[in-house]
Amino acid sequence: MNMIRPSDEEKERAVEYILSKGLKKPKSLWQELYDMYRALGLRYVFYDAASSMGIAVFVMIGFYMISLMSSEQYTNASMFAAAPVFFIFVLILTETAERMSVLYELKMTCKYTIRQIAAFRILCFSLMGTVFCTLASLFVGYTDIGDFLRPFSLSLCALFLCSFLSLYIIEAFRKIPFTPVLLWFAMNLLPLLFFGEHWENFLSRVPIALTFCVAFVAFVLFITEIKKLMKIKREVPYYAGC
Amino acid sequence: MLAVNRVTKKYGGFTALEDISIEFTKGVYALLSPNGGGKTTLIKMLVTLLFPTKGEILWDGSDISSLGEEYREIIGYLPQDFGYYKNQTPRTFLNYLAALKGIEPGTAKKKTEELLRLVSLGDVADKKMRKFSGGMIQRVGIAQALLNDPKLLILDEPTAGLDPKERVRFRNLISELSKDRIVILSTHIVSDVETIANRVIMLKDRKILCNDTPSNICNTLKGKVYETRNTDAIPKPYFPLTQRQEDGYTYVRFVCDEECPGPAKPVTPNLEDVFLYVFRDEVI
Repeated sequence: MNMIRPSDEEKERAVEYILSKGLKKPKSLWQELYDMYRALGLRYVFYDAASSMGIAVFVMIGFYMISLMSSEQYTNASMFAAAPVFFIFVLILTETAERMSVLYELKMTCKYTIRQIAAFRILCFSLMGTVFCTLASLFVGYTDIGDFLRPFSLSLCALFLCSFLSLYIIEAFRKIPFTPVLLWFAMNLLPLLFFGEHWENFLSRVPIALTFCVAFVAFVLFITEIKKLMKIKREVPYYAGC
Repeated sequence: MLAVNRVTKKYGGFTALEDISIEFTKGVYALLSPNGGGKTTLIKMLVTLLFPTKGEILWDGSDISSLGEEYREIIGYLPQDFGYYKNQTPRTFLNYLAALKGIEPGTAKKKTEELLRLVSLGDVADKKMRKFSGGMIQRVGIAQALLNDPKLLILDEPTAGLDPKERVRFRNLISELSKDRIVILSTHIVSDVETIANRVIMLKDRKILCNDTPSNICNTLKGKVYETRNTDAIPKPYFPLTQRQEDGYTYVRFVCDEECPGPAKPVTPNLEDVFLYVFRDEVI
């Protein structure tokens, strides 16, 4: 039989056409973030967040200075305690500012809702936290690579564990204010205050590879929470008659 | 088409809306009820700020909550308490919201200029909004709702704070816009909707009382509305509506369910008469 067969290119085009008329492939997290970045730019992603970020940096620097200077023998424990400070404070300050914003409701009806923008910001804040942890680890371990890796891995571990758990508990206990601060206090600060030397000994002996692994797993879980935050559909608090 | 199918909304034990079904096609729809009548709850469900406890809201057959940004891209919303950044100018504010609405910067710039002119704020486009009057702020709110050229324009109490001239201009604007989109506006100011609404939806006791054209709604009181300056001479029980002054006399407009002999003249009922009569237990 003399049939005209389509070329591979034509087949590919036909398949693409059929697919374009059918169900749309959901965007990946990175594609969504990239599209948001292109549409808004950093200026609008961080709109009105500069003062919160400034305060969080100030608190973080203060905490690093106080903890490292007052307890020189507890370097690892201090690094573990200080690593999430920027993230926790900037998260709480920006979230509170947005929820109290007069434009909150309107922003929730736009193509890019403030909840999605907040998810983007949180990811950026964790990356900024990583940069701060790196700088602080370089500061305490500038003489030796071994002295750098331990505080660095512990800082990342603390940062991503705290980041993941903060987002998780914010969702789970929405009505309790400042849960991330309570979490940070319980997970990062209390062990230093109560078990000072034992805690430092434990952190200085735990294998660096293990802390990197925990940090990696926590980072993956954190990204999963970010994905959920991008897709979540929730009512905006409103009471009848208001 | 937007369809509200058997929607109920509860806040805990309190039912705000019950079994609401409405279909919206192109034109102006006015939601009318006294304050606290459920208008804002319905509007907030239409813009996905609230979700129905029962029932569904469909846009072209798809549930609006599952459409996500695809639905948000086609709506324009003016909230009842329109918030704004006091230190921003209308131009920067509109550019900011245009970005949130996913509008390309070039298009946003053009659209901002066009809308600022449309709402007569071109002269103050670069002035900070902290010094603006309530009416000017409301006009900024109307402009932001139109930024993405929405197919569905939802306005909650849009004429609040506007002076009579601005009100007329607003009505003309809405009439113009409704030619190729759905416009839903909520209000308790009856005169705002009488001339522009294609359909009026009255909500009473958490349910839809009527969904009809203004003239059909007015006809429900046909032959029952009278006016007189001498209420003492009215022999039947009557329900007073409004009063007006003319030539030093006070004229009282009232509803009388039976034919009313005497000095009172029958008059053509308007939407305000129906509103006052229907909500007589709720209107002060």
